Amino acid sequence: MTYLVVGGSSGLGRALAERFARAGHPLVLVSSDLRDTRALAADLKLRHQTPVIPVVLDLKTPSLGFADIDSALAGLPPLAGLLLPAGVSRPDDHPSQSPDAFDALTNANYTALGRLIGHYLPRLRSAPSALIIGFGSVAATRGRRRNAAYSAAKRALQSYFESLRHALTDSNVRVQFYVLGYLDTNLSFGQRTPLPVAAPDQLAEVVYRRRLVDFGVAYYPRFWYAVCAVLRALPWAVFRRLSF
Amino acid sequence: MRRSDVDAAVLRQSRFVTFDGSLALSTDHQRPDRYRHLEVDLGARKRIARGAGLSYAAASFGAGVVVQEMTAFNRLLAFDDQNHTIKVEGGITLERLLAWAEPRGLYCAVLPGYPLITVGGCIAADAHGKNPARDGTFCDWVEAMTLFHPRRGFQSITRTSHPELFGTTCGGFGMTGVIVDATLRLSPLLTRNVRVRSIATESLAECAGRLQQESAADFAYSWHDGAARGPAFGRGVLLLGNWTEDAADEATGAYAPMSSDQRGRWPISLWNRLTVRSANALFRRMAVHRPSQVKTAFDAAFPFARQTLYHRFYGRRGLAEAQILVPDAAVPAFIAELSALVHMVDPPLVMMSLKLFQGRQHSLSMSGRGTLFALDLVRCEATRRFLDALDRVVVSTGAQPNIAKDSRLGADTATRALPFHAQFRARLMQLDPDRLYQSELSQRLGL
Repeated sequence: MTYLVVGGSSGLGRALAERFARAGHPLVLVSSDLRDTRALAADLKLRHQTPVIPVVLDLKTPSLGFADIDSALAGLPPLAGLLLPAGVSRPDDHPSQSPDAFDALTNANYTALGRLIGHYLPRLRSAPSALIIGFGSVAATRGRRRNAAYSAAKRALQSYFESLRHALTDSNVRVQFYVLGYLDTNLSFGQRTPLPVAAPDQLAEVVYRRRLVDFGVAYYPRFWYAVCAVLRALPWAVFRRLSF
Repeated sequence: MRRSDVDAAVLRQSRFVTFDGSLALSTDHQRPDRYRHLEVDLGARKRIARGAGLSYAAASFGAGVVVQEMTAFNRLLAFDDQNHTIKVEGGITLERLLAWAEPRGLYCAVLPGYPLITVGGCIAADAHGKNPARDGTFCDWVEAMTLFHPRRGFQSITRTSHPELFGTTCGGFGMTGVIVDATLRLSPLLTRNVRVRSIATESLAECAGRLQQESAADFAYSWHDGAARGPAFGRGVLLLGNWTEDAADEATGAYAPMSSDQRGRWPISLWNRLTVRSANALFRRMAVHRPSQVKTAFDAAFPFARQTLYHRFYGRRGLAEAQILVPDAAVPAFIAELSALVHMVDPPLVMMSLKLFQGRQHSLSMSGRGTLFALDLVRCEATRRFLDALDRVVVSTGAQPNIAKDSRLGADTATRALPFHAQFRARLMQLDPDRLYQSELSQRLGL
């Protein structure tokens, strides 16, 4: 069973690719830089003897074509799942950013993923058992002055996944969504995180173990469920004073 | 998180410490995990690549230097089944490489002493294994590399296509740029275990002579009692290993990796006259009592991986190691002067070790044939006096120090003792005229 990993070049995407390849699943790895996915594909093929094909696609661009991915999938066993750990953030992501920057963040974190799901949904519906896994962020819990477009896009993605799960409730397609806290990736490197960072490879193991479970939404690490509940419940008079 | 512009490097302040515990400092730390991160413009900032950070000397960090940790670049890239060459990213550890190679009946002929050392680190220091006289050094087994330097971008090089750059990078301690990947020639692995024979010797001279006779062994090195004085000075055990089909004597499980930081966690050093004398006596007794044992290839190649107490015992104060290549003709004189110096200064010498050596690189790594002497001492004022005096013996006997081991070696001794120091410096000024790639080691050695 083949899996498509979007955002598969580093961090969580790389960890997911390694875990699923280790289990023998052929993969198509999608990222904006072929150098990264080509290196990862080569490594996974050598270590696990499983077919892994890298494809370049820049999720930030408004016009997306999936021909290269379709071509890669054509030579592999049937598509069984989409793993979507892709995410892009910028340090200058605030409400007054440029329109181009805003569009790029929205495309990469939401629009492109929605379009990709729409493109491959017919194929997944026809599979005996299929899986779509999305990844959001605790940053989307509540709008802040920082990461404005990123947080909004991730919140939109979470809502979209709720709709997707509802729409596919009587199908063979399982829809899962992970709301992620701090992960030990380049994104968090250098940040002074108030709470511990989680290891991507441990999350990848959890994702793989729970891939057959119909749980809807899960927080990782789990303590973020409580943290986010508190953040949502804070009165505006308190929240407006927070800087994080 | 600090970024100077949108696509700039993600940096944080991290603390780095040498394995020997001599130097610790905080500086900017970059941890690239994509190829475009390597291309981020750091301007005129000094920077240096870092692998596992297990060098005794500060070869992968320095004050005001951006440390570019390459551990995410740890993938296998291509395998040539005909020629038995494997292309790997520079941040791959020897352990990870061997985990792939051994089941395929392949091995690295040259393995330095710890499994987490990276391939890039091995090339940068031109590391050696358990029988350098026979197998050479790590760079002898490197066929090609990809280097990154902001001036030249990503550059694929071989010994024939770019002889000067290739030769300067081998044993160049990262000063020519980032070793992004390397193509290594692997050796057939005929068996999985090594039979190690222990032969008691009574002096450094005797052991050096025996090593010459046993130079064909797959593993050949010695251990000597650092506490012994008088006629007993230099007594030790010659350890000779050969690949064997026999089963390993002991089943061994996973080991607990140890970083430079973890090595120095204990607040005090537990090596003193009593413990050094006792430990050495115990080691010799055990070696003599069990003159032959079968170890796994892992344990034979990495004897300290499961025995971390030896290095932890040095505590936060740390250790000082001097590793010195003595030309064959000078070995008797060197041993005589070493013995005299030890007896005069009486430094806290814990152990010594010998190997026969052959290095072919013409950079900062040891070059030529001879006997490699390693001395481990507790770091203190007496040790400093001893090593300063030993520098004079090194120069007078035409010996060469291993700059990866001696974290206090100065420019004066390096200039006089390293045969290719001047040529290396001249080549480096052409290859990296802005001297972007620097470390505390390079700065201390006047590079």
